[in-house]
Amino acid sequence: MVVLAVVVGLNLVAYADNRQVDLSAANSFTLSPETVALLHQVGHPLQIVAFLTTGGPDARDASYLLNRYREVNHRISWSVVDPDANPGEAKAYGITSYSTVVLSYQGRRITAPDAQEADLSTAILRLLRGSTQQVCVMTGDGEPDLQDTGPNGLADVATVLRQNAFDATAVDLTVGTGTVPSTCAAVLEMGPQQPWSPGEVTALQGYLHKGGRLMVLTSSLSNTDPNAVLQPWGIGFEGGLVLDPARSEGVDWSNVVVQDLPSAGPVDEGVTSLQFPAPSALVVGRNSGALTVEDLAQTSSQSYVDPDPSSGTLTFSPGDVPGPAVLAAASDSSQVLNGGPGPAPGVAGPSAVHTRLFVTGCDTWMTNGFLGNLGNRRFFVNAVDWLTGQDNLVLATSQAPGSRPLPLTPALQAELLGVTVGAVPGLIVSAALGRAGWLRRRRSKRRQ
Amino acid sequence: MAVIAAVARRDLRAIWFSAFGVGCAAGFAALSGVLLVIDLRSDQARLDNWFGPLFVMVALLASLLTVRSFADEERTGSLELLLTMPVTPWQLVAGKVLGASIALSGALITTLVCPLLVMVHGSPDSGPILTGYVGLVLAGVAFVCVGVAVSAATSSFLTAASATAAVLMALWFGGVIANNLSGRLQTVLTYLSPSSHVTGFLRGTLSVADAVYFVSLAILGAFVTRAVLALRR
Repeated sequence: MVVLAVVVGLNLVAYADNRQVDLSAANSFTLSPETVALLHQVGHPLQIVAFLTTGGPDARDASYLLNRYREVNHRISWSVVDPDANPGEAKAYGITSYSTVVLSYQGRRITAPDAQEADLSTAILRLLRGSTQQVCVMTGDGEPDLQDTGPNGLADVATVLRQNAFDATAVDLTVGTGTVPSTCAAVLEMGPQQPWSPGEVTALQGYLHKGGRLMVLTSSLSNTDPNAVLQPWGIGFEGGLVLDPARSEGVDWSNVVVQDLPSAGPVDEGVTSLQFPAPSALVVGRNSGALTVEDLAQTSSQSYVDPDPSSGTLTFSPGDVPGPAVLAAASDSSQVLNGGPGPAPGVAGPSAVHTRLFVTGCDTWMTNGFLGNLGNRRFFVNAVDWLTGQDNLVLATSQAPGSRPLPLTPALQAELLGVTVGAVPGLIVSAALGRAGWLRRRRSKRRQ
Repeated sequence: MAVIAAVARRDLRAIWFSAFGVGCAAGFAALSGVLLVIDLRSDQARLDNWFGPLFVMVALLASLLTVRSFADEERTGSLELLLTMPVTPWQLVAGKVLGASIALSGALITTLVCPLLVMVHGSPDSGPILTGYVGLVLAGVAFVCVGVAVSAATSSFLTAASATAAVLMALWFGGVIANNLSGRLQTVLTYLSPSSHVTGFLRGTLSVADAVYFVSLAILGAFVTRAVLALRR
């Protein structure tokens, strides 16, 4: 009984402490101190459902990581569901793409774009905060509708925003006071077709100068010229049609697949490729003072910009501008304003404002027809997170184990089976028979 | 220590130099090769899906190897002689456990060719391979102790093997049943199941809790064996 008590006691102590040494490459399953501290704050049951193809390495890695989460806090339960094998469950959760993780906590639900530590922990932090942020979606200039479920609509964007605890509200700056509401954590101008009115330009300029966060997704197919709003922040809309013979979807060179994502920042994080149909080029200025401007997506060196797509010639011709072309850019500026809102409510004085701008020269990559392609969804979520200040809420130290390809060719399979099923057992049996034979010979010699 | 080593050597000879032992080792090696090919169908140089089933195979192998410990000895009539020798019960238990553990480790060594082949053709993460084998050895010794305890309680070869397998599988499936429960019972059943302590080794982590679990299982198995032997005397 004493031994049993000691054993049980040791196990209780080990279970509570649960120290671990991670010998995997890149510490794939060691959680950051921030994540561990965050998980200790989970005071009610938290359910995590990861929609992944079961049996594959991604599902196994997700299982290992989610198991780590549960080891830190046993209020966390998790499961990995194959959306192909369980379409009903996937539909019930509103899942439209693989690798989506749904987290439910105290009646609230939020999604994470991937089963990586940074994504999971950021989603948990949002759940613990218990609040949603308002993003204002501009209307009035022919933008696609958030309720439109057709291929050119933005119903999928509306779903993604809702799943990430954002409250999408339509804002028409062409009517009324024409000012951006103060409750907007970010303003999204997605695919305007008509030129901005002078009032809209003034409203957006004023909004940005006071620390606004603006997303502008447009192309040369639109009549909108955003340069009056964008250029003071280091980004210019060049227009034209970008063609990339080296990286395009099928034979349509204007259906560009972007694989150069040069930024190490949060908008490009986890994004490996994008599909940008009929994109236009941007011009990115230099960093200046408190203004930081960055390329987010570029075409290949074989691409070029056709300034006059209506000419009908798709091949490179005189007047075309050789690439690479910038298709997405971000601008970030921090400045101190005197006479602004003040450092605290009711306290006058200087305050710091942070203006952020996210621009793409394509206005269809986020529509229902393209949002689920390649890394478009992730790119969109990252951009909104960055604009609203939700980026990198948690610093993750773990990295995904990564791919270690080893194609199982018939020759390799034959070699493996030959050695492990043939040679090794054969050696064991041969050694045993050899010894038995040797013993028999020794016994017969002794008898003689 | 010399007595323990002598008991272990005696059991090792009986296992390794018998058709049964050779068959177990060869079969284990062959089966591990088949599992390797199945695992590599994912076209990734990863062995975590290979180590997972190996833990179950180790449990079954431990059931077979520990039959020789006491049950088979009683069947052949040598147990009476052993119990009357100047060997303390603890020395006997330690020797039996050591012998079966070395035999099981020998079978595990034959599987080293699998990760070696993967390393030749690909670049697997060596961390999970190392922790996988550490886990297999820890689990193997724990399962051997459970097997020795069951073997001490019966004289039938078949009963010993199947009862050991049944005990280990019952512990294993306790974790599966626990998924449908909640509260403290779920926590306890999950903790008692070896499957919940294998995950860490598969992903490349060495956990104090997992190591303490398998060591505890081994200690309890040894104490139960000692108690059964005392009853028999």
